[in-house]
Amino acid sequence: MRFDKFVQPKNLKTALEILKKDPKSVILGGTTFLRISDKNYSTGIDLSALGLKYIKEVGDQIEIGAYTSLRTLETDPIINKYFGKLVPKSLENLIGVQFRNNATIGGAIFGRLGFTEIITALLVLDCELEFEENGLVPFSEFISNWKIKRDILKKIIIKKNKGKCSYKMMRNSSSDFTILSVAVSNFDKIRIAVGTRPAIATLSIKAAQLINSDKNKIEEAANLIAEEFKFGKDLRAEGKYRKMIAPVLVKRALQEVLK
Amino acid sequence: MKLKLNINNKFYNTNIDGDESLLDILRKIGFKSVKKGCDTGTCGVCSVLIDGKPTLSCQFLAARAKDVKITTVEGLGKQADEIVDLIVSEGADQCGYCGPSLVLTTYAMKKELKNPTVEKINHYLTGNLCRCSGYEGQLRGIKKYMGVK
Amino acid sequence: MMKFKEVNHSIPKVDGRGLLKGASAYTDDLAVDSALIIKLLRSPYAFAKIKTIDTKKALKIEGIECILTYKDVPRIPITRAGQGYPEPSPKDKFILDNYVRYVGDEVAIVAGTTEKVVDDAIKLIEVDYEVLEPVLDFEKAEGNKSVIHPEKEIYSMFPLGLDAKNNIACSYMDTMIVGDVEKTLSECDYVVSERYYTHAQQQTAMEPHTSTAYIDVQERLNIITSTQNPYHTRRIIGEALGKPLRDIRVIKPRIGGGFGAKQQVHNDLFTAIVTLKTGKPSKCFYTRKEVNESTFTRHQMRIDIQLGADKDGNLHAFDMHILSNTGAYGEHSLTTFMVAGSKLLPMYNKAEALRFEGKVVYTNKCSAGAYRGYGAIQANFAVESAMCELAAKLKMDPVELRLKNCIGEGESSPVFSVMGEGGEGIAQVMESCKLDYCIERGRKLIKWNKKYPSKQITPNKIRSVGTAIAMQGSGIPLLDMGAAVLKLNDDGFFNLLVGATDLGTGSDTVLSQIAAEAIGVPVDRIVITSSDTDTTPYDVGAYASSTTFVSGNAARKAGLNMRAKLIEEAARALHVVHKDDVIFEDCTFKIKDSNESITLKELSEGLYYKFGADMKQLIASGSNTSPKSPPPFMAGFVEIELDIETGKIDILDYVAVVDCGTTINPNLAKIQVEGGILQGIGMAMYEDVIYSKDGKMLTNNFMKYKIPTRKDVKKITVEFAESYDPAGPYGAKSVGEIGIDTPLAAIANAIYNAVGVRIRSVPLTPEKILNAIKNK
Repeated sequence: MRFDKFVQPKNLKTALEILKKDPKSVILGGTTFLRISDKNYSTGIDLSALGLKYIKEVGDQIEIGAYTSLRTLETDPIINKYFGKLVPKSLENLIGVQFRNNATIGGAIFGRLGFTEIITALLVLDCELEFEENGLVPFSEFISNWKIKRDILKKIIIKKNKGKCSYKMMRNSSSDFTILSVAVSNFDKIRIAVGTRPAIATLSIKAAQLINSDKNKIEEAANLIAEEFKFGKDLRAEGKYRKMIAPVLVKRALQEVLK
Repeated sequence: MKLKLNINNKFYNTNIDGDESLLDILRKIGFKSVKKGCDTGTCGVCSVLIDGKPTLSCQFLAARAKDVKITTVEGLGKQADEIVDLIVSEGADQCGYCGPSLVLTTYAMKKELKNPTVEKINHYLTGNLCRCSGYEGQLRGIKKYMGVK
Repeated sequence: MMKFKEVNHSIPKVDGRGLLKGASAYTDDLAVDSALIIKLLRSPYAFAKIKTIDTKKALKIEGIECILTYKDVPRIPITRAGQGYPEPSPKDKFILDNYVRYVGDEVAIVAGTTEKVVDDAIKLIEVDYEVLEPVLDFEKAEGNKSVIHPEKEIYSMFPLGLDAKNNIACSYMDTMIVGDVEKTLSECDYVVSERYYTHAQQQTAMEPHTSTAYIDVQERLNIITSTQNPYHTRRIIGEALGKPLRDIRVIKPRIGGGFGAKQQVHNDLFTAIVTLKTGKPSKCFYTRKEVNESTFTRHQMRIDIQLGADKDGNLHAFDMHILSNTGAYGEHSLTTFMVAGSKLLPMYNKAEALRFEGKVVYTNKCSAGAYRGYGAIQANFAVESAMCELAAKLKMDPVELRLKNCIGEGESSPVFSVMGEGGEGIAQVMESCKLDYCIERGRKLIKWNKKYPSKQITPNKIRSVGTAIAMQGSGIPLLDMGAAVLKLNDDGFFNLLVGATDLGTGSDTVLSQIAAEAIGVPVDRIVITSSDTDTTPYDVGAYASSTTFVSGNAARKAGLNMRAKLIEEAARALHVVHKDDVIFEDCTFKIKDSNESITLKELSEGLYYKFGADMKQLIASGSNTSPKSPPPFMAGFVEIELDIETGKIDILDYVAVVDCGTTINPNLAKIQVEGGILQGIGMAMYEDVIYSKDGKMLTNNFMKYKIPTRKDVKKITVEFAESYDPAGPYGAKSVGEIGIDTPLAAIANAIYNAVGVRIRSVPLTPEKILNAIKNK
C-alpha cells in the first residue's frame, strides 16, 4: 500500500466528505491487510483520534466502536461475559497478539474477506452496523451485498440475547486461516452460519429450519448443510473436503448449544 | 511530514512520509533491534510496545505514533536482563533474529496475564515465530520468568 | 563417561545476550545509510525469452543510479551452490540472462537512493517477452519439447550426467549396485514395492537474505552478507564477475538462521555488480515474497522403493529409484539426490542386494537448493514408511523389525565406499553407533508397548504411536576442510579466528569450548571471531553437519598447538630444561616438584612487553579434514491424536533419542534436535509450496506458507545416548541435521496405526487423511 497524503479529519462528517469526493482515498483501519495490498491511494484517512475505540453496554445492547482492536474485543470482560465466548473464540487464532492489537473490528468487517472468522460469529447474533451516511444496517445485509462501499463504519451494535452459542473451526495449523468456520446460536431460535467455504459466511436457512422444527434432528440438520451450501477450493483445501467436514462441525456445534 | 516520537522515554524529531511504517522509521533512527522478517505482518520480529501493548511496527503507521509511547528492547534496559538470561541459559536464543521482539512480548505478557499457564503463554506468544528453536527451549526459560511450573 | 572441564557443559551462547538485547549485528543493521537500494525486476512468466528490454524511461526517475539487464553483465555460467570446488552442480546460471526460467527469475537489477524510487523505476521498465511453454510437472520434464536450458554455455566440471537438451540436470545410473537385486527380490518371502512423493519445502530463516557491498580504501570489493559459506561466496562472486579473489572480501556477520537457504549465493551477485559499476555502497534486502519465490526450496522427489525380506523379517534386498526436481537451476542437484541413498541404505546394512539410481530434472519452478537434511529427509519418509509396510506384511512390531536390521557398532556397509556426495565415497566403520539403544530407549519413553498400535479415546478420537529412525553424516570426508587460528593476548586471553559459520546454531560457542578444552583454560579466556575471508582462516562453511566435527577438530588442533607453545615459552621463562616438567593448570604453569610458577597472565605480559629478545606473538593454528564422517543416529517416536471425522491430527508428544557422540554443549545440542524436529513436523503436516496452473508460486508469504507456531506441538522430548566417537573432537559427532529426518514417516506410520490407511505423499493434511479414511 502506498498513499500520498495522510489526513486526520476533525470529525466524521469531514472524513466522509473526503471519502466521497476522492475515489482514490481510503479509510485507514489497523492497516493490516490494507498494508499488504500493493494498491496506490491518494489519501489515507485516519480516524483514530475520533473516539471510535470503545466497548460499552447500553441497555440491552453492546456497542463497539469501529476502531476497537481485535485484541481488545478478545479480552474485554463485557464481550467475554456473553454468548459463551463466541466472539473471542472467533478472534483468538488470527496470527498473533501483536497483529490483533493493531487490527480493528471495523477493518475486519468492512473488508468482507472470506476468511474473516468474526463475520461467521457475528452472523448468528442480533447485530447491526452504524454507518456515517447509511445509518443503521443489519449486519447480515451488509455482508451479503456490496451496496455500501464508500461509507464510514462507526459502530457495531450487538443485542445481549440470552442463550447458548458455539464456535467450531478447522485449520491446518494453529495460526493459519480456517478451512471452515461454523457458528451456532440458540436464542429464541437456532441460527447456523458457515464461513470460509472459502466464500464469506452466510446463514443457513434449510438446516436451521429443520433443527428449529425438531431439536432432535441434529444429524439430519447437519447433513443438510452439505447440500445447502456451495463449497469451493482454495490453497488450504478442496471443496469436497469442506463439504465433508461442514456437517461434522455443525453437528458438534448443535450438540453443544442443545446440551 | 514532521513527527516527534517518544521512544523509550526519549524524544526524537524526524521527517516521515504519511504511508511509512513505524518499523522503517525506527530502523532509520537507529533502533536496529526492531527487525524486518516478512511483508505481511505475520512473523512478529518487528514487534514493539505501543503504550505497553505488543504491536507489529511494520503495520503501525508512523504517522499515527505521535501521541503514543513506543518501547523497544533497548528501552527495557535492566528489566530485559531476567528474560534474556533465562532464554540464554537454555540455549534458546539461537540466531537471535526473533529475540528482541520475543523479549519485549514476554515482558508485556507478564504485565498482562493474570494467571499464566503454559497454554496461555503459548497463546500469547503465537505471533512470535521462531524457526530455529522448536520453541521448547524458549518455553523452558519463559516459564521460569512467568512463575509457571 | 569421560569428564571434561569445558566441553560437555551447557554454557550460554557467547553472542546470546547481545543478540537478545538488540545489538546491531545482522547484515542490514551494518549497511551504511547511504547504500543504494537494490531491487529486482522479476519475471511474471514461468518460461520466456526476452525479446526487447527498454530501461530509458525508468532511468529518468530522480534517484535511480543504475539499471542493469542481461546486456550489461558478464555472461559467465556459474552455479550458485556453495559447495566444494570443482562444484558437483551444473554451471547453468548467469547473473542475468535473456531467458527467464521461473516466475520470479531476475530480469533487471535496479539501484536507486530509496525504495520508493526503485519501485517506481521497476514499473517503468518495458519488457517484451516471447512466452514459452513451461515445464511444470517434474514427471514430464525428461525429453519434454520445451528445453529449459538451450544455452550453449552450460557445462559441468564434474561427471554429473548433465543432459540439458533432455532437461536432465544430472543422472546417476548403473553405479550403486551391490549383489543381484532382481534375483534376491524374487527369492524373498515378502516384498514391499511402493511409490512415495515428497514436496518442496521453504527454509524460512527469519532473516531474509541480505547483502551489502562497498569499496574499501584498497579499492577492493567488500561484501557483508547473510551467508553460510563466505569462502565459497567469494569464489563464486569472483568467477561470475571475472575478478581475481584478492580483490574481494566477504564478511559474514550474525546470521538470522540459514538451514541451507543461505548455502547458495543470492543477492551478493547484485550488490557486487552495482557497487562495482557505481563505486557506491549498495544493499539488497529480500522481501519474504522474494525469499519464497526466488531463492531456493527443498527438492521435490518421487521415490520408488522395493524392500525384500524373509519370513523372519531379515532384510535381503533394498532398491531405491528416485526422480528429483531441481527447478529452474541445478544447485545441489546431484548431491541432494545422492544423500537420499547414502544416508538411508547403510542404515539397514544387513540387506545383501542393494541398488540406488535416478535422475534430477529441470522444471520451470523456483530452483531447489540446500535445506537441512537434504535428500535424507525425502528418502527417510519413503524408506521408513516402507519399513512399516513391510512390518505390517510380516505381522511384526515395526520396532522389532528395525532392531533386527539396523546397523550396529563396529559394522559397516559397502555403500559408504561406492557413493559419497557427488562421486565415490570412502569406506566407513561405525566406531560409535548406539542406534539400538536409541530405539529401545525411545520405545520406553513413548510407552510403546502400552500404546502400540492405537487406542480409541472417544467415539471420534484415536490415539496412536508411530516410529522412524535416521542417520546422517558428520561432514563430507576428505572434501570438507576447516581451520582455526588462536592468538595469545596480553592479560592471558585468546582470539579464536574461525572460518566456520555460526548461523545462530551456537557453533561459535561450541568451537570456543573445544579450543578452551584443548588449551586447558576456562572458556571465558576465548574471544571468537567468525567469519571474514580477510581475517579468518578457510572453512567450507556451515553445511552437511560439518561444523562441530570438521571445524571442531580444527579448533582442537589449534588449541593443542597453542598449549604446546605456551608450555615451551613457560619452560623458557621458568628456566626449565625439559618441557615435560611444566604442568599447566588453573591458568598457571608450575614446575614439577617445585614451588616456582608463572601465571598465564604473567607469561602473556612477558611475551608482549618484558622478555626482551624472547618477546613474541604466540599464534597457533589447526587445520582439519578427515577420511571419516561418523554418522549420528536417531530414533523418533510420535504419539498423535486423530479426529476420524475431520482427519485432523494433533501431535501429543515427539520423542527423540539421539546418538551424536559427546554433546559439546548439551543445551545447544538439544535445541538443534528440537528445532529440527519441529521443521520436520511442519513439512510432514502442512508446509507446502503450491503453484498456480501457470507456475506462479501461491504460497509466497507467511500467511499462505504456514510454519509451526508454538501452539502446534504439545511436547517434544529429547534425550541423548551416551556415546563417544574416537574421530570426533572429544568424542563429538554432528547434530545439526539429524533431528529433521524422522517426523514425516513417524507421523505417517502413526496415522496407519490409528486408522489403517497408508498415505504415501506428504504433507499429511487433514484433507488427505479424511479422504483416505473414506476411501478405505
